[in-house]
Amino acid sequence: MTDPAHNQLYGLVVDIMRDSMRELSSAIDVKKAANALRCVVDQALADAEQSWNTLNVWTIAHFPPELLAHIFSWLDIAGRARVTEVCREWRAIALGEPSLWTQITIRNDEGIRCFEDLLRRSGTLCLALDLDYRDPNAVAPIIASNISRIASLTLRGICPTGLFHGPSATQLREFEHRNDSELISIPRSNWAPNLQRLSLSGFYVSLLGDDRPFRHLTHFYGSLANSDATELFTHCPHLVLLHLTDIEGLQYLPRPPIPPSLSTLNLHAYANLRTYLRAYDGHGLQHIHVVSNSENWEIVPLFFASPALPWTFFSDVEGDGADWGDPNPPGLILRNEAGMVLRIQPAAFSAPRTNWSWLPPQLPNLTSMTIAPHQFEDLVGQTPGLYAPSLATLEFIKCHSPFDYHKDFVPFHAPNLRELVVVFRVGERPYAKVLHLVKELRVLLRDTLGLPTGSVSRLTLKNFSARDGDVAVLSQIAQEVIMTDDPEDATSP
Amino acid sequence: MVNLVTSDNETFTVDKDVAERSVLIKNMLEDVGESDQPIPLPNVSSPVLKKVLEYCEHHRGEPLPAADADSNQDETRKRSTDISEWDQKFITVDQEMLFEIILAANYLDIKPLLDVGCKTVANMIKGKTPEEIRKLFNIVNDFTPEEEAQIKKENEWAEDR
Repeated sequence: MTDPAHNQLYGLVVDIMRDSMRELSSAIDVKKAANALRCVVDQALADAEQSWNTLNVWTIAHFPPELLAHIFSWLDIAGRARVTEVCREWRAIALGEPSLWTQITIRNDEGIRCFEDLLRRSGTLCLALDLDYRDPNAVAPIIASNISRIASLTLRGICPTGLFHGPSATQLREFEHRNDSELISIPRSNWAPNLQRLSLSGFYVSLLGDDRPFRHLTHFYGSLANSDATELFTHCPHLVLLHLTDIEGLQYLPRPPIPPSLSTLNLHAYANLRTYLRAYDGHGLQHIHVVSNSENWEIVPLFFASPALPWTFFSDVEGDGADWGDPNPPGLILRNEAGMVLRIQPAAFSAPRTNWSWLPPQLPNLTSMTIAPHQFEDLVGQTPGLYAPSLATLEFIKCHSPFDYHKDFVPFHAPNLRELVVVFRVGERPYAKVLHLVKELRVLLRDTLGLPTGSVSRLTLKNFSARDGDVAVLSQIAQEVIMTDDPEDATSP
Repeated sequence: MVNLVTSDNETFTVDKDVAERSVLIKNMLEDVGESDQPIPLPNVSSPVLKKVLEYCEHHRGEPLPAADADSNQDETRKRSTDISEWDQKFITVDQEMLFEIILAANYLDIKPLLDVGCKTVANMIKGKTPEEIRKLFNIVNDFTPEEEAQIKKENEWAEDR
């Protein structure tokens, strides 16, 4: 504050007080008058502060309320709560917009204590609730009293007793219960007649009771008894995805016929896979993902025998996946001529090294193969010989050193192989090793794949870390090397 | 071609399909019909319109969001604040320009640009304390200490998430 302004204000206050004192009779009254004046000044200052937020045109505070509400709508529930603490105007805007309070995610007990107040802010709008709690009794009555407007409900604690027998959840489209240790009955269709997505992570008893499964169900995630899975096929004409987990023993594969709407079938399975999976062939599924163990590699030949089956096969065997330095290592990827993919993660290739006896020697549909060098060594070292007449592209991934090439590799006949791709391991700087590796690949192409030099006309190097110019030059040299005979090859490895 | 006149009286001549990324201009052109008359934009200055047109030019040809897209959007669906790489680079401007772009997008009714701007502001708010937000946007705390304490208590659940 400038000196003149200070003096002016001082003079004004003194004058007001003197005027007041002329009419006062006691010292107590003077004190009261001074306090009253202080209150007026405080109020004036507060009002002036507030006016900054609306007068300063170049701040966000100048935005119209609907625009601020739109900005708040991109925040999560905690962020939306935090903006109510910024200033009066923001608080009024945030609390005055019910749609900002319809998605409520609570992860602690303090949140559960405020849960009811938060719900009140949403007015009568539909809700999406994601709740973590320790005491189901704390949330039960609040959920029950709002159940008619809940569209999506995720429960991460013990499911409140009687929830599924209480008032009907007519708006509920998605229900997820994540509590692995719990055995509960699963919701009934008369409780949530319009349910579309059901995801259950615990151990569940029968899906079926006196009523039929959810007619509008499109997605199911969880474990089911065999009869229930088949019931889903029968009574859920809109089912798009069925994701079955933790099925020990596996009599638990749903029997065909599969509803025409079903495009994805995800299975965790440990035995007898072959029996039912074969029956799915030709049913129009777009994706079948199988998570299993090495015992089920017996189903792999089905992949080659049934080009219409869209297999993706994952193994859950614990292994050396972490050594790859890649959270999602590609492992062995085989594509058949229908463009379908069979993918085996390297976790399967733990010590002792892979047993490849499951792979059929004739691979007529195989058009491209992606494999790591050490897997390829196992492949050609352990099988009695392979024939892949359609194989056009061979991709070696995670390359970091020359092959450990042995003369006793069995033949892997791929007479139509035309393209070789070498993908170096991320972070490798294998500049000095590249030509050595390419020369070894040339020997491998000739001796193991039975290809005359020059028949592979395209060599691509990927993930190669060096200066750009060097990569281009080296790639050119590598391309020439792979297509040129070298007398020294005869004596190498 | 369409002529647009800004608040500082500068004229921009742009392709019709670029100008029509703005629903406001699109509606004006439909109302006026074929005409060489320039369209006045009294709420947009030339530096801001230049930026807005850069956005429209880059996104020309992309499908426009349906008029009722917002009302159709399920309020219970989670919204992503991801911004594409080009948009991210485009919207990396000083705060004053950012706010002016948002106000212009709102006035011109260019929903995707409005969303990019609002998401950017939301991303600036994310993870900050109320005091940090005030400082960032030059906002005065006009709560009394008692009110502030009460609201803080009310929001305890949202801390440390």
